[in-house]
Amino acid sequence: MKRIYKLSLVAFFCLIGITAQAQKAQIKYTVTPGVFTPEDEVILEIDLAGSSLAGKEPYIWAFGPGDAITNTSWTSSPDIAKFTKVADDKWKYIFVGTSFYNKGASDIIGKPFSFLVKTKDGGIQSEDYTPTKFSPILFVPTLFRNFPIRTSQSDALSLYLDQRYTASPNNQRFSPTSINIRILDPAGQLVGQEKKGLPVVKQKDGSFGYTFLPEILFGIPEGQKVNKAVYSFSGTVKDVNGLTVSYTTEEAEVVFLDLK
Amino acid sequence: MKKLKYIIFLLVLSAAACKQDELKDIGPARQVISAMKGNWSLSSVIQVDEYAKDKQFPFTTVELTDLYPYREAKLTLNTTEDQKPSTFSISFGNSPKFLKLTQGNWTVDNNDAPATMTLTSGTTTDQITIGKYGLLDQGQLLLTVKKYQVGSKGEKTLVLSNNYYFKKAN
Repeated sequence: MKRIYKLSLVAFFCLIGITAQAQKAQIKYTVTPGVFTPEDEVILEIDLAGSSLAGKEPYIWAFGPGDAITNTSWTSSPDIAKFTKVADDKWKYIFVGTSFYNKGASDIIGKPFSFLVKTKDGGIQSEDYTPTKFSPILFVPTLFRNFPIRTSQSDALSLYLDQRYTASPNNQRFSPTSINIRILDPAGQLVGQEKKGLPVVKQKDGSFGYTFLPEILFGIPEGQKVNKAVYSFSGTVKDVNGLTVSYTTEEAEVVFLDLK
Repeated sequence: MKKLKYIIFLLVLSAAACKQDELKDIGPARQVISAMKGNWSLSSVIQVDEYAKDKQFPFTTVELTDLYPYREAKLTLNTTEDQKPSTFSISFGNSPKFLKLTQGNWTVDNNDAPATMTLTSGTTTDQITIGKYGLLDQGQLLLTVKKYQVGSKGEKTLVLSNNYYFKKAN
C-alpha cells in the first residue's frame, strides 16, 4: 500500500513537471544582425501573438556567457529588462553584448547568446532560445570556417575544415573526403533535401573546403527565406584495432543575413 | 642686422628668378562611356569578404570562376549617338544569374567620370559599381555588386562584394 502511495506521489510530481513545461510560451523572434560580435548593436524583436505571453509586458532574461545585467530577480525584473513596444504584441530589445553582460569581449566571444521572455513577476515565461554565438572581433583560427564571414543566401558560400585547430583526436586524425550540408528556414524546417557526401577540395593551407551557391545546390524556390546552413565533414579514420572506419565531425552552422 | 639684409636680398633674388612652368597637355579626357560600349564576355568572378578585409583578417578573397559556367555570361552595353548610356542586354547561358535583369536601360551617376551604373527595367533595378578605368584600356571591364548590412538606424556597412571581370568580345 505504501508503495502505491509513493508511486502515486512520483506520478503526481511528474505530471506537475510536464504541465509546467507545457506552460512555457512559444514565441516568434528575429535577431538582427544574424551574426554579431560582442561590440555590435543587436536588435531582438519578438512577437507574442498567439502565445500565453500575448497581451503581457515582456521582460528579457538572458544568459550564455553568464547572467546578463537584466537578471537581477526572477520575481521582479528591473525596468532595464523591459522590451520596447513596437505594435500590438510586437516588442523589441536592443543591446550591445559587452555592456549587456558587463563583461569584456574576450569573455563573450564564442559563447552562445541565450534568452527567454517573461512577465515581470516570472509567472509566465517562454521557452529558452539560443539563436547564435557571439562572433570574434579578431580573427581566431578554428576547426570550422566559413567564407565570407557575413553572407546572404544568394551569395556563394565556402565552408572549410582546418584540422590544425581542434583538441579532438579524431578531428585531428581523420581523412576528410566529403561534407554534408542542410539548410533551414527561420522556423527550423528543412529547405530542399540535405546534401550528403559532397566532395571536399584540399586547399593550399592544408584545410579542406567546399564552395557552392545555396540557391543552385538546394534549388531554393523564389521568395523562400533561408535562415542558416548546418554542416559537418565526413571521412575515414583508423580505429583502435587499426581498421578503417567512417567518421563524421560535429555540426557547425552559418547564419544567413538579409544583405542589401 | 647686416646678415638679415643679406638673407632678405637673397630671398628676393630667388623669388624674382621664379617663373611659371608650362604644364604639359594631359591629352583629351578619358571617354569612359564610349569605352564601356560594346559586347563583353565574363572572364572571371572574385568574391571579396569586405568585412574580413576591413578587419585585416587573413582570408579575404575566393575565386568563383570555375565553380559554375560563369564564362557563358555575355553583356552588351549600347550608347546613344552622343555617347550616353542607352540600352543593355545580358545573356547568362548556364551561368548563375547574378543580376535581376536581362535587358533594359543603363544609366550612370556621372557621364564624364562614372562610379556607379544602374540597370533598370520597369521598377526593377540593379546597382553596380564600375571598377578601375585603367582596365578599359586593356579591353577589360570590372563591375562590382556590393552587399551591405543595414543597422537599426539605417546605417550601411559593406560586408562583401562580388567582382565580375568582363573581356571585350569585339
